[in-house]
Amino acid sequence: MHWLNWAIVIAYLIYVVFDGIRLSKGTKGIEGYFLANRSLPWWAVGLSVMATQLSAVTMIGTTGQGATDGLRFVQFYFGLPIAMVILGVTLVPFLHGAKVFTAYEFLEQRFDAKTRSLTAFLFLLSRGMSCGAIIAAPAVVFSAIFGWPLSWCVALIGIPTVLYTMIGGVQAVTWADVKQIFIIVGSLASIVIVLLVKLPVSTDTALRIAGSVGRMQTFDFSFNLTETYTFWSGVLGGTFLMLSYFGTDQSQVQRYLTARSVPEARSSLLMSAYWKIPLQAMILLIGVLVFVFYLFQAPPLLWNPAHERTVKAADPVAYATLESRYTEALSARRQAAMAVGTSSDAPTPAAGAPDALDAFRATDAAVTSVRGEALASAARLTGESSRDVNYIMPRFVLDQLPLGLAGFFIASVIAAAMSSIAAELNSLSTSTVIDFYRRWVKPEGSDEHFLTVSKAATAVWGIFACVVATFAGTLGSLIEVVNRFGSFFYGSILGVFLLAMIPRARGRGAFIGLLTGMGAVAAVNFGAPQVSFLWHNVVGAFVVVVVGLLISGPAGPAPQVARAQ
Amino acid sequence: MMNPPSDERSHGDPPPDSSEERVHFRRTFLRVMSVQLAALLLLGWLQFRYTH
Repeated sequence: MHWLNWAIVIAYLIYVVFDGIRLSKGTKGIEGYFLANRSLPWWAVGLSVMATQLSAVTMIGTTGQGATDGLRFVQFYFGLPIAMVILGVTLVPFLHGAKVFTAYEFLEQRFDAKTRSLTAFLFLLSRGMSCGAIIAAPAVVFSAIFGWPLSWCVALIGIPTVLYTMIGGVQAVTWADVKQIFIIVGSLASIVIVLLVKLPVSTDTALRIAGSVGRMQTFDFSFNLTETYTFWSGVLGGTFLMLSYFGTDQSQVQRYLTARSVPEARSSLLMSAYWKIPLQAMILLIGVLVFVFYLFQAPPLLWNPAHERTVKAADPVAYATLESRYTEALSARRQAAMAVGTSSDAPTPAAGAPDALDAFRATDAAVTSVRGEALASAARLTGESSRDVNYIMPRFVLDQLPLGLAGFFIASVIAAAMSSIAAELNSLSTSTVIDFYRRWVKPEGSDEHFLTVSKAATAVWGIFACVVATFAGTLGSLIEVVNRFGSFFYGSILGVFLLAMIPRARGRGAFIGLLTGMGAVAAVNFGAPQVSFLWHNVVGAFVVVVVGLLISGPAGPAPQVARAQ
Repeated sequence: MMNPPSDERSHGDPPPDSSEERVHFRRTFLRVMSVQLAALLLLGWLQFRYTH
């Protein structure tokens, strides 16, 4: 990459760290460090929520998914606006009004200490591992593309993030998020412009070509429990998932606990409700346009350069033969795509278009078939997954974007990773200190003491996440187990919070309900593994509420109000 | 600083909403849903026009 691009990346990293240190002036105690003294405006919190959701995986993985699979992934977010509105009238007033540091602290106010500790422990376990995975995803891609050791790439992303999160607390995290979301959206918008300028056909023709191979299909109305992305799994399963994520996950809850008031907290969540689906559709559409771009410009046989080198080195003759067949197939596809463009631009486009589209589909299938052989070789020779969706966008950016914009994109991928990692580190530290250290180890202590412990906890979680990311390759199966385990309790924790809003629910019911809910999801997962994970959240939440209410027994006199602290 | 140990606690009652806040929220809800509906209609139109 050109030195100017690197200069942009380095300037961004230096700015983020120094800005974080500058903002640490407002964090004198743990209320300031973890909650910014509940003083942040709704728009800053709202942008922070959006930045946290946009991780590096969104920048490189979702665009790649758009290129290979089209727009249908956007269905995953159909439940988000509904969930945000429900949370606005239910959990947000409860959590903000309870003046708590963590969502789990509220569960002790409402139920008991063991329910709080179990939910907080499950959060720390899953988020601790997932934080490592968030660093690993872009680090692995950077490592393959730039040929650097993975540990360097982890350090490039991880160290600045840990520094500004540890020093500046939630103030630094939120205000960095605000700047980062503008960098991310600006970078995406610049890519759209470059794509539209570089495409040799009109936008209408480009979309027509993409549509002929299913890339423009958003909606799938089939009610199929085994299909992850359908309209119904998005609306029903997605609503429960988003309710769990935004209502019970400390990394999100902590964002809106920093808002000045309940109405401002609600408004911050509604910002995501407005923008998430259009933004996600735009990100996928960029991928679709990249797919069309590479119909007219020869793409590499394998997007992952490390795999490309391995396969080529293992059998150069076989690779050359494969590459020659690939070039022929690409040439035929390019001509077929041009024919679609010509027929679409003709005065009577409908006349010749269907035949041209059929021819294009056939040539596209031939390209996919040759690439499939190369992917199979890569998987066999490397022993890794050969899925190379995450490499499409970085390769497009480095090969095709003008000088400066490539550096801007790499900085925006790092910004996206940082915004997610920082929110997680901050929330992991909050839960460690508030739900465990202050609750069980040292209940009495000065604010200065807890602030020092909080900074140390942020650093420890940051180091842990970097170690997990560095060994992501060897820990792959472990991370998968933890993620799978995470899907067991996400919906169940939501069930506990739903119980908290039902007056007759009691602590015993909540705790046993939580364990039963996780067991029920595990039973569905192992008994019917074909059922999409989006439905696990529905099952978990439902079982917890039903079992929790049954165990709590009939409605009795309201328990005495005794707020904690 | 520590939460008193207990088994059964308050309902964690949210602060009551004023009628003005309720009206504001209802309006916001309608606006959010209108924007989403418009986005879905646009995506549906793109699918209808370009998927063959």
